[in-house]
Amino acid sequence: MSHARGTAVRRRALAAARRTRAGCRRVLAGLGGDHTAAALFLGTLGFYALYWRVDVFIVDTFTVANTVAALARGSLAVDPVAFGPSGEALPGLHAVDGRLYGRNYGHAAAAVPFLWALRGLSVVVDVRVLLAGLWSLGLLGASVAGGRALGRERPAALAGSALALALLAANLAGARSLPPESFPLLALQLTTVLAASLLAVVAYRLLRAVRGRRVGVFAGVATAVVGPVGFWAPVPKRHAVTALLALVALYGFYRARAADGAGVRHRAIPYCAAALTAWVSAPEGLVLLAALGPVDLLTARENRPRTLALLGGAFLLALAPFLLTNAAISGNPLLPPRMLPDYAGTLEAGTTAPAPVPAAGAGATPGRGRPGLAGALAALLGGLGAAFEVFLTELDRGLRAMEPRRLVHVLLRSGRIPGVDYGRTGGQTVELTLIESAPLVGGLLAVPFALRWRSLPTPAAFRRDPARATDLFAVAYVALLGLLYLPRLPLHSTITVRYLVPLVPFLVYGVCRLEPVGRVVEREGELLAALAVGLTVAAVGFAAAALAGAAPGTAMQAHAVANLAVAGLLAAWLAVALRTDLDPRVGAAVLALVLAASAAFLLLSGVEYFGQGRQFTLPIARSLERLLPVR
Amino acid sequence: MRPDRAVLLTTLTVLAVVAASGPLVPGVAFTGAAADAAPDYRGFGEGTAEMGVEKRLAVGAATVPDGGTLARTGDGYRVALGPVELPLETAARPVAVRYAVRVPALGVARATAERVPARTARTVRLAAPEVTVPADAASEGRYGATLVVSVDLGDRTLSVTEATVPLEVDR
Repeated sequence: MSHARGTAVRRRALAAARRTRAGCRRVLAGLGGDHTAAALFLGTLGFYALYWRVDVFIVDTFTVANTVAALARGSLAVDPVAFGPSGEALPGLHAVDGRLYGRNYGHAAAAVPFLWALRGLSVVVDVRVLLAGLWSLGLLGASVAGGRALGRERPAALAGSALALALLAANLAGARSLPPESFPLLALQLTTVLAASLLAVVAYRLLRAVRGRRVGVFAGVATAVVGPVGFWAPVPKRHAVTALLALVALYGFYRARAADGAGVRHRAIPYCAAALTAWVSAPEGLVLLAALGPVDLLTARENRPRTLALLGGAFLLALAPFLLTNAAISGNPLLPPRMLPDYAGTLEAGTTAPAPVPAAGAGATPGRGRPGLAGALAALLGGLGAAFEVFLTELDRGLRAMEPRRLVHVLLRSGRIPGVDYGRTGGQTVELTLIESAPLVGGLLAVPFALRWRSLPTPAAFRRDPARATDLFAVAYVALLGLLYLPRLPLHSTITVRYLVPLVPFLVYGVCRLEPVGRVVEREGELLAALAVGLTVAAVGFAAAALAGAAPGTAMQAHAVANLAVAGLLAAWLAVALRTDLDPRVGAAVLALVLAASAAFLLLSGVEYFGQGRQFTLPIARSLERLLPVR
Repeated sequence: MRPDRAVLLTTLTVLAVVAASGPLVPGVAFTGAAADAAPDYRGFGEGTAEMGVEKRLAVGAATVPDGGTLARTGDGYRVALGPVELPLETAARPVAVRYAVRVPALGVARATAERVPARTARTVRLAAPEVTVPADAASEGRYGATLVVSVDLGDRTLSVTEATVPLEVDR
C-alpha cells in the first residue's frame, strides 16, 4: 500500500518537474531562445538586486507609488494620497476638477500585477524571504544556463547550487520583514529591474542578429553594466522602462528588414513600442515616433497602402491605453496628465490649484465635459496639433541650447557645474556627465576615424543593408531625444544625466557596431571575460580602500575622473585600431577595463555612496555595505 | 552528485524555506518585525529644498486618543486626554517628538515633547500636556480639541498626524 502511494507521489513529482521544465523552455524561448540569453537576464537581475534599496530616491516617486496604489484600487484618481511626507505638496501630482491624478500611468499599470502578486503572496509567505529565495534561485538559474552555454554544465550546476543555498542562509541572518506599505514601491521597482535586465537581453539579441553571438554577449553585458542603465535599474523611475521600449523598437526595426516573410509583423513592433512609451511618458513616445516614422518609410522594402494601414492599426491599438487614460482624466485623449496643472497643495473641490510653472503645452485647457463624437474628434485633432507644436518648439529650444559650455557639462566633464543647485543634493557634487557615467560611450569619439568619405549612402543603399538602416534610426532617435532634454540639462538629481538613459543603449549599440570591437570580441573573448572579472574585483577593492571616509560627492567625482580617463583610453585605442591591425589583446584589456570601471561604479555607488542608512531588499547588501570600508 | 539532482534539491530547499516563512507554518520565523512604515527617506530630489544624502527618519502610524474630558478640579477644569504613541526610527541625528493640544474656543495651546537620540528605534509614548482652564471659561458642554503629533528634525518639522477630537465637560 505504502509502496503504491510512494510510486504515485514520485509520478506526480516527475510530472511536476516536466511541467516546470516545459515552462522554463517557454521562458527561454521568449528571452532569446538560448541559454546565453537566460544567463544574461538572470545574472543581470541578480547583479541589480545587490544594490536594490527599498526607498524613495527622488521625491516624485511618491506620486508614481500613489498612482500604483490608486490603480490597484481600480481608480485613476489618487485618493487618498497614501504615500508622501505629511503636509507637503508632492511634485508630480496633477489636479483636475478637485481630484488628484498621478503620472506615468503606463509604468504604474505595469506595476499593478506585481503589487497584487506581492499582496497575495504576503498572505502565505514572508515577502523578504520570498525575494531572497527568488534571488538565490535566479543565481542558480544563471549558473545553470551559463554552464550549459559554455558546455560546463556539471561544475556550474554544483557551484550554483552551493552558492544559492549559502546566499539564502546569509540573507536570512538578521532579516526583518518588509512592511506591506512598501509593496507599491517594491512593485514599481520590480518593473524597473526587470526592464533593465530585459534591456541587456534585447541588446544581446540585436547585436547577435547584426554581428554574431559573441558581439551580442558583449553588447548585453555592456548594456547591463553601463552606468546610466545600471544606476537607475532599481530606482523606480520611468527611465529603464522607456529605454527598454526604445531598444525593442530598434530591434524590431532591424528584424523587419532582416527577416524573411515576417517583415510586417516585425515592422509593427517599433510603432507599438512608441505607442506604449507614450503611455509612460508622452514626450518620449512622440520622439520615438518622430525618429521612427520617416526612417521607416525611407528604408522599408515596400510601402503599400495595405502595409501602412496594418502599421497604423497596430499603432492605434497599442495607443488605446494612452488615449483612454487621457480621455478619462483630462477629457482629451491627447492631453496626458503631465500637461495638466500641477497640484500646488491647496486643493479645493471644484477648482484646480494653479501650477507654479505652467507645464509645456498646458495652454490647451483640459475640457472636462464628455464630448460627443464630433467633440472628441475636434479634441483629438486639436491635441494632435498642440502636441506637434510643443514638440517642434522643444526641438527648436534644443537646437538653441547647443552651447559648448552646456555640452561639455552634459557630455564630458562635471565637477562643480555652474548653474546646478547643489543645495538640492546636500551640497554633494554627485551629478556626472554622460561619458563620466558611461565610459563605453566615449568610444564613439573615434567614429570620425571609421567614416570613409567616399559618397553619401543613398536610400537604396539603406534599403539593401538592414544594419545601415538601423544605424540611421538609432542616429535619428539619439539626436531627437538629446535635443528634447538638452535645454533642461545640466540639472540637479540627474546623477548620470538620467533623462538620457533611453539613448544610452543606442550608444552602446553604436560602439558595438565599430569593427575593432567585433574583431576583439571574436578573437579574444575569453581573455576579455577573464580580465573583466579580475579587473572588476580589483577596481572595487582599490576604490573601496582609496575612497575610505570620502563624502558621496568626492567619491562620485573620483569615479568620474577615472571613467573619463578610461573613456579616453578607449577612444584612443579605437582610433588606432580602426586604421591599423592592432594586437586584439590590447583591445581586450581596454574593453575589460571599461566594463570593470562601469561595474565598480554601479556596485559602490549603489551599496556605499547612496546606500548608507537605507533599507536594502536583500539583507546581504547591508553586510556588504558594512564590509566595504568606504563610509 | 548528479548536477540535475543538485539543482532540484536546491530548488526544493529554497522553496521549502520560502513556504515555511509564512504564517501557514507556525513556530517558524526567519525575519524580525518590520520596521514600521511610512518612510521619510529623503534622497536626491526635485522640487523640495530639504534634500539630504541619507535617511532622516522613519515613522509608523501614530496612535492618538479619540476623545477626552474637561475634568472638574477645585478651582476649574483640567484637560484630560490620553497619551499618544508613535513608533519611529531615527538616523544620524536626534529628533524631538512633540504632542500639541489646542482648544481654540478656550484659548488653550500647550505641548509636550520628548527627545529621541540618533540611531534609535522605539515607540515613543507621550503624555498629554498639563492644561487647566478657569471654571468660568467653560460654559458649554463640549469643545473641540486639535491634537497634533509632529517630529522636529532640527532644520524642519514633520507633521505626522493631526486630529480634532471632542472634549466632554465634566459638570
